[in-house]
Amino acid sequence: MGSSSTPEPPPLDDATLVALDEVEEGEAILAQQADTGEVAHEATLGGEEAGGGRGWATAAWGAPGFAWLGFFLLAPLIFIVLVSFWTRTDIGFSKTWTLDNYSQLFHDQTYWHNMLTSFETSLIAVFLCLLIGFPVAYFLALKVEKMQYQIGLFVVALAPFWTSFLTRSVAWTYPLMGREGALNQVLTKLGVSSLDDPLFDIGFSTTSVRLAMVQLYVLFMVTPLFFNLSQLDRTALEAARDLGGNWFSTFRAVILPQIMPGVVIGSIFIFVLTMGEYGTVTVIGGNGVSSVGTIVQSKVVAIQYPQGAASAVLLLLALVVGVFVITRFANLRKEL
Amino acid sequence: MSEEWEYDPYEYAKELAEGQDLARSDFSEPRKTEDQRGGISRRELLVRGGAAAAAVGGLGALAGPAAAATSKSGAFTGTLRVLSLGVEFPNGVQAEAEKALGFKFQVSLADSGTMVQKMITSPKTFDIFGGYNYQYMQGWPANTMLPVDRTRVKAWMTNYKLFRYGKVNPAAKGCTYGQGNAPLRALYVDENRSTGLPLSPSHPIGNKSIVEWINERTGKPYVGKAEPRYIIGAPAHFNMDSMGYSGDVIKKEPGQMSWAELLNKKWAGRVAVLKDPGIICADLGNAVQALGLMKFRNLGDMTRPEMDRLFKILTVYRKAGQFRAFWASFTESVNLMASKEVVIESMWSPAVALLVAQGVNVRYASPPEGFRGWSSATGIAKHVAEDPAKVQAAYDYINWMNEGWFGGAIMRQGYYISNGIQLRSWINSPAGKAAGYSPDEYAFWYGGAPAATDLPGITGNVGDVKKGQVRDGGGFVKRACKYTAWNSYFRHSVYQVKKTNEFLSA
Repeated sequence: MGSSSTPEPPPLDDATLVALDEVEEGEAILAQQADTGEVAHEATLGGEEAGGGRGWATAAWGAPGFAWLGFFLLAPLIFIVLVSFWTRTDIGFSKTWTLDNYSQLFHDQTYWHNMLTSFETSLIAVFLCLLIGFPVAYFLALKVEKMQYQIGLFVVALAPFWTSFLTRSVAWTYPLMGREGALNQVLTKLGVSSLDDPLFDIGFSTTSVRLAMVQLYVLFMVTPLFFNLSQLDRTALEAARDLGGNWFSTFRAVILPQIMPGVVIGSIFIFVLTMGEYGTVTVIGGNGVSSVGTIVQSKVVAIQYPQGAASAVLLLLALVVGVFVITRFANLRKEL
Repeated sequence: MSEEWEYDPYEYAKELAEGQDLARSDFSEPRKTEDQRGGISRRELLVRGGAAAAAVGGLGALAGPAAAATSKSGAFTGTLRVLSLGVEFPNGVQAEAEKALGFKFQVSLADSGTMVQKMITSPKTFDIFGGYNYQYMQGWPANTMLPVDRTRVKAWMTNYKLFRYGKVNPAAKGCTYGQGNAPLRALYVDENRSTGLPLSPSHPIGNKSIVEWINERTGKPYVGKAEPRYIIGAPAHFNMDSMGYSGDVIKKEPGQMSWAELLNKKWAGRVAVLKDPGIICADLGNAVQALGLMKFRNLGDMTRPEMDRLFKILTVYRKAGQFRAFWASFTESVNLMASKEVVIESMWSPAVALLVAQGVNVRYASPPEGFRGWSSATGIAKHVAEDPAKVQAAYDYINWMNEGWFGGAIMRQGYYISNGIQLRSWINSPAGKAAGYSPDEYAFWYGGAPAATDLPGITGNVGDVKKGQVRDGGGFVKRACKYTAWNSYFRHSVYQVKKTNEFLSA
């Protein structure tokens, strides 16, 4: 076995580097950072292992949290799963095991129809929140130089959220989207609509529910993006600029990879919140728009607990799958 | 203009029937295979439902004894916890009851669904249940309520005959019982089936003790049978519900307003209905029946094929944009009408009264098909029996409700009290006068007479009812004569909720 069999490392001379596309350059820088990050992360893990004697103390600190979650989250969840396999009676359920609740649900077109429309609503909400939320976060984090102004403007962005969710929801019904609401009043004054026959008659509709959701939840996207963008490695931005990257290529190669965790966290928030939505749908849809959430509610109110539980369990599974898929877009463990 | 559209709903319905393959007519035979409850024994239905109920009930048990208190003389000094429907418990009632009875009240107001939930899963969190008769039909088998001894209800014999005989005037021709959970079918209990009376014809599968005293074919008690001593609760409020409509837009008298107007294409996009599955079935079932599209065997307990067809028809209307919204609370129904989002909707009397008091031209229909009735009964939770003083306090409260003051308060809401006859003499008495009532008010609300002067109404302010105003639908006896159906608990309630969701998702 001579040394001749060892592959030669590819020659890397200055000329090659210069010839590299700017974007690839940016990516190389990023990859380097990521590597460093990984090393640092591993170092941290190693540190934890070295201090293994502190494990019990850590566990003790975690105990109240575990107890809290166990009692208020896990136990009810287990109970819901159990009830979904029990048999309904007029006055609740009897502990007779059955798969009927699920088999009925699997054949319930209405349920799956709502699962799809709720999913569609969620996708639209996530997409629009990204579209609207990113420029806001970008402006706050990168265009506003002074920290005080940043915080100040962020608080201003928060202001609508000081009002209760219900008040904001109701504002979307009669006062804004109603037949004689602000939108139609203005359009009527402009002569393009009439009070009796509105041009955009979206009051109590799926469209108004979706629009309202974007307004109600956009901050869940702005916030993580804002913090991500604030921590953006500005030297990388400068490097990209120096190398002649335009805004789009810089965004794709430098900004996007760095804010992916924020995008993922924001998307998870909005996906989970909108997919299981009940309140907004009910209030803004005038009780005439359905979601998986309203279906679960209708069964619980009618004392059909096993049916309601089964509907909720399948929704939960859908949410888990959805969140799993979203997390595939970024390695949160690594990047946070 | 009116001639053009008066025939409209019928014609539109006919078009639908021809175009949408909705013409099947035999819907009376239920499909056996779909009865999911076939495999469970009746005993199991009676077993209180599992750990959740037990757990919640257990928590309630902690509150129970703590809330009970009795003085040495045996008089009740604790707090009577009342669970009631919001609209049926107006402001000021609690303070007056405390003053009159000498003990404290703790009042929890809830919607109808939550109330049944509490009756079943947390019966120890309340002492008094002020709910609808149909709620008892569902919840009674949970065995959490104490049968009320009618002999301790002072107003029993002076109550309207509507409760004992099913009609205000049993001899009158042309008056109807109404289908579903009418009080005569949802009142008497016979826990050990010692009376020999038949189970109520409108009872849910789990019922083993709600019986009917009157033979509906003869209109008289079953031969040789005594009136049962126990009832689910003492009759309290009741009313006849229908539709509120904009008098500015719909130029019809209340008596001309058929339920079919809910499906009149002329009002497309300006119609709302109460979201409750039972009420969607009853109100829109009435509408579909009035249009001649279907005939229901029992509006208060539809079969699956009946629901299939009903919702098939309604979905066609829904997709054509007939319904603007569905409402779930009193306030929503008021807002929908006040903001002109709708011109006709199923509505409660106080909601109409509130808008009328504010000068909005809203009228209350008296459909020729009859009203949808509801009645509430004041029941006592079973755990109260552990404290005899508290039981007495519960009966004291029930009897106080019938004395006059309470009847007057709900009269101004547009509701009737079970012993309106007693209310009249109370209003004429010094006590009634001292409380601010006048015989003119009684004449307006019960008598159907034009208001002699401006009268106080729902807000309590004089002028809520204007001089010369007449109650839509007329006097009590006329309004209480014709019921088409009562708020009811369906046997096929799982299917009902499923079909309603399908309709609401369309």
